[in-house]
Amino acid sequence: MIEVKNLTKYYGEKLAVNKLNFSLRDGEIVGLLGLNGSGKTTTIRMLTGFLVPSEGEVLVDGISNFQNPLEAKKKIGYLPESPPLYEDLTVWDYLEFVAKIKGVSKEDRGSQITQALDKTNLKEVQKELIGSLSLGYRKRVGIAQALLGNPKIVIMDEPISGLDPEQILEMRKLIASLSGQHTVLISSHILSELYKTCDRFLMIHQGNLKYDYSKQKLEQELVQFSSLLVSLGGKSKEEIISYLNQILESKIEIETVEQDGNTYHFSLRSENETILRNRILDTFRFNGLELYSLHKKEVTLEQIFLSNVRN
Amino acid sequence: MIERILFIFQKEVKIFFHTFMAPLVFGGTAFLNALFVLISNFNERATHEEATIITFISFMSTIIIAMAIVSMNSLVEEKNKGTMELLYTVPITDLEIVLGKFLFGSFVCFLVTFGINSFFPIILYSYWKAPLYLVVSGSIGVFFLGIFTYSVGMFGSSLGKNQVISLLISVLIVMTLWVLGFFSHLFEAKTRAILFHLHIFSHFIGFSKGVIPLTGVIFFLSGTFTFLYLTVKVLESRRWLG
Repeated sequence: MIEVKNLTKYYGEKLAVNKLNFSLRDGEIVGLLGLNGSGKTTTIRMLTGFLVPSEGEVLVDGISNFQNPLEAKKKIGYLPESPPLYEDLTVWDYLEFVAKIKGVSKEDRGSQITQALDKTNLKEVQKELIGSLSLGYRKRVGIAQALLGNPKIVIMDEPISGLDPEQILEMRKLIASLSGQHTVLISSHILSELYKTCDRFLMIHQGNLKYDYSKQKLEQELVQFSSLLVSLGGKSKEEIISYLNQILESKIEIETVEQDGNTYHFSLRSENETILRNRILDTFRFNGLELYSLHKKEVTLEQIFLSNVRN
Repeated sequence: MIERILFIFQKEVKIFFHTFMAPLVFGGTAFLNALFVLISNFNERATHEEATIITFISFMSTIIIAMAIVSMNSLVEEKNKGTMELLYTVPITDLEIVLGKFLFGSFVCFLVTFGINSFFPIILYSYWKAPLYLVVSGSIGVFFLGIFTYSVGMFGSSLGKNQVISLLISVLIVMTLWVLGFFSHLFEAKTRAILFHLHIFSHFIGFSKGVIPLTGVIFFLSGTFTFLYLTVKVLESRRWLG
């Protein structure tokens, strides 16, 4: 659907994006991860034709967006980070304008706008001025305009930034509803949000593509980072650490130790988490240790992300 | 292509009449016209030639102010509000964007010249008994100057980072072309000739004397095309520079 070959962008002397190569397949939802300033927005802007690459090319359904930009752009719907809205127009007038310049025929215009309004739950505000809408509504208007013209590819730059928790849930549902009908590329630095909506993940750091993971591959990574959080008492910190190291044969990694009164909180990592869990229970039972809590630590994508970045 | 130009034009017209810009431009022009034209003419002028010239010289100032204000928003606001990102990523060319906006500027200029300003030429025609051709040619001159100023303003708006800087760029260009010719006599022959040909005032004044000078028409139209071309080139360069 989209094929990116050696995509490079310089701003003056500064290299912003360096020889990116990847492709997006029909119907998949792909997350573009990266820290602020990593080159996500520059990449997206080159994909959408907003920027001309310094080197390389982007093929949209086989059409070069540099050689034949008008045809390539017909296949892409784009929501920038800040929705591109005319505040002095009503929602309907704005969508009508976008439909017109996207080349939607007069006969289809009304029905396409209505569909986009339905999909984004904007019907009740269609006659209101955009300037009077909240950020959540504005983002939805931005998505509605991206869907006009029925593009094969929908690209969204940080669609959930600035939204409140309720709006994030709505946005996630909306993005999920695009699955299958469109190929979707979403950029974000809120990685846990992408995990819930995407089938595939591309990580960019300092303009380079660091990894290209399927959801399964990412889940394997999550296991590697998993750990147990255990809160113990009844002995001194040194004694507890000594028991843990001896009995568990030093095959564990003690990550953090925090003290809360006479209770110590440890984060333990092991290659085999099941054995670790059983041995901890045996160790405590036979050594007079008091176990206050034992639970699996939530692994965030940020950890994987930062670990990959640092490596 | 024509269709997309018209879509941009319609959008501009809709926004213009939805905002304070329409009353500001039309009301402001009417007010300044009243200030400049009525006071000057009714206090001092005796003949229709004098009254006509002073009227159209006043219009020269008001149309430059009006069109500079209308044009200062044309592109810089699209950049600052992020809507340029929309226009750059939909199937429309930079030329179509510029022509759509220019068509809108010409429309506003037409409304000012033949609508808001028309009250005074009617007075010239009916009260001062100025010949009709004098009134018509003067109005055509105002229209040419207006679209020229708008194209300069669009160029300024494509370069500026905000409305004030855009306005300053366009005013600087127009004022330079307006004032420089007055000092042409200080230079040697070749430079003098060039400065004289670039002098807005000398090209405009012919229109208010009842003729439509070919050099004036060529000057304003070629100047308009030049600044539109430069505006398109600035927009194209943004895609490379980011």
